Amino acid sequence: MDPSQLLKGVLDLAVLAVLREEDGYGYDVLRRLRKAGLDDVGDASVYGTLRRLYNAGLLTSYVVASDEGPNRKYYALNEPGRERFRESTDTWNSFARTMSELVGETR
Amino acid sequence: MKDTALHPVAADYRVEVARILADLPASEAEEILDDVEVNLSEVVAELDGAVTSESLRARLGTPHEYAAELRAAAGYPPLTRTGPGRLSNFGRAELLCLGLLVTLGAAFVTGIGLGAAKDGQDRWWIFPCLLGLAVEALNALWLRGREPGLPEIAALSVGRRARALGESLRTGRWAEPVRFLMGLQSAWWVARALIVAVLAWVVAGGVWWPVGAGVLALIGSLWLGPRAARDRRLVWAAVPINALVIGAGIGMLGAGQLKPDAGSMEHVSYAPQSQYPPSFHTPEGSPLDPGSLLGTLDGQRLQNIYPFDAQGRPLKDVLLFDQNGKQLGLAGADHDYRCGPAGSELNLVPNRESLPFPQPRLVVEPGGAKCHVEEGTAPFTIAIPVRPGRQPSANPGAVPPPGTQLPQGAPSTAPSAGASGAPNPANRTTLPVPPNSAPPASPANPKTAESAESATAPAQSGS
Repeated sequence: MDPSQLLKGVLDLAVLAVLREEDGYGYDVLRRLRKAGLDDVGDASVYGTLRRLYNAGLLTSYVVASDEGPNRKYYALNEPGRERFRESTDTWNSFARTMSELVGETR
Repeated sequence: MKDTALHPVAADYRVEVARILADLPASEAEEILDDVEVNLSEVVAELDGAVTSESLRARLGTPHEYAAELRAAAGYPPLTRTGPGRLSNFGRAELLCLGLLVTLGAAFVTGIGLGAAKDGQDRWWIFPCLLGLAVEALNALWLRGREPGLPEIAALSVGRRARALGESLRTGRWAEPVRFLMGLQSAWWVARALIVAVLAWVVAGGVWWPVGAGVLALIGSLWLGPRAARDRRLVWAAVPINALVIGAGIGMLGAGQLKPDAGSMEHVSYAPQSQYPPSFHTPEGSPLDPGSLLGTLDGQRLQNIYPFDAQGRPLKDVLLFDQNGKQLGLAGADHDYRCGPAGSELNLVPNRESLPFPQPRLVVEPGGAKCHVEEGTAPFTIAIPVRPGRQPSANPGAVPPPGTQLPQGAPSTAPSAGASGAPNPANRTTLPVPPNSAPPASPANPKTAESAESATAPAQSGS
């Protein structure tokens, strides 16, 4: 099964999870997702997701000057974002449990 | 060290992406493109010098794939082929460039026409003007609601090449002069308002028109100048305006509207001393029929007609008519009525072809750049053949002016016999000629012979 297809549904949660630990700019979020094992995540997907979560009011952003290039736009979780993270985590856990049971049964 | 300039390959990539996001609201597109730019600069740093179009695409996918992924992840409406997406944007962008070219050309030609028009007579510039305005209206319709940076234009290969050229000019070996010229930009904003004021002076004259037009132009120019650099949509206004102004300047210079300084040329102004108005019309009130203009006589261009009466007295203000009652004039009469360095001739005697005979003529002084207008008096005198019973005359031939007569159609020296300036019509003179001077000169100069014939013809038929 193509992991990128699975990723689409849970990328919001993955990004929220990364930002819950620490604020991050786009490329930083991407690196942390890859480091966590999500190798197939695309640059544009991460930037797009950050933008959408921000537009949905789940993130705040601030700009930090960078020594190496353009200014970096950092994203941080706000209260609605944290709330969304808790909901999504619950949904994911129950979904994952269900899928594990389902897959385990049929094996 | 902070280096915000994106690698050229990455910049092209960004532009491609921007084109596919062009339908988004401007503020949103700007935000997301900032992110894209950061992403690109990070990837460029990651590729560490090995940045090519291929390596970038291998890492990020094609710009189209990247933008599609971005749109999907950001929850933007998906790209459709029929919507304001890639294809229709592409066509529009090219049409916009074409529209810019058309308005540029039309404005330039209009400017030349406006600048060169004299006394508001030539109005052909109205046609390019209308064309330019129509196309400009279409441009404005298409530009409405576009992003100020016009990514769809920048994405065209023309736009990319123009940017690359600009980049190489700013950084290449001509960087210093280019920077100097760029520094003159604000001077140009003032200069073009000045040209508009001069144009208003040429077209309308007076004081208040030029001053008013100049002030308005200055305000508009200073408003537009800095904004066009930021909002590329205004380029579609600035370029035609500049073309119009430059065209007007060239037109005014070319037509000699701006009186050149006295050093380069002498000014001659001619005020007709006869009672005929400058714009002379036939008795019926209509301008002369081109078909009734006299062109050549014996292969030589007919340059003037000097009527005399039967007593050899020069006539003034004579109108000639053909058998149908049509007034006769001189064709191509403007030739020797211009003076000055090539390209800056002044038409000193307007409507010459319909003026009564003899017509005023332009005398070019040695050197070529100076000239003056002489009233229409003959540069020679004639002798009339004597009829039986009249005062005896020694010679029926004409008096040829001595020396080189009529160089370039305009005699520069008056004949010795009539003293300088030829006889004034007021003091009528009949000059019998000493018999010894006429015969040798007469065959030598066909022109003289010709005038002799015309002068003697009526006398012969009468005898």
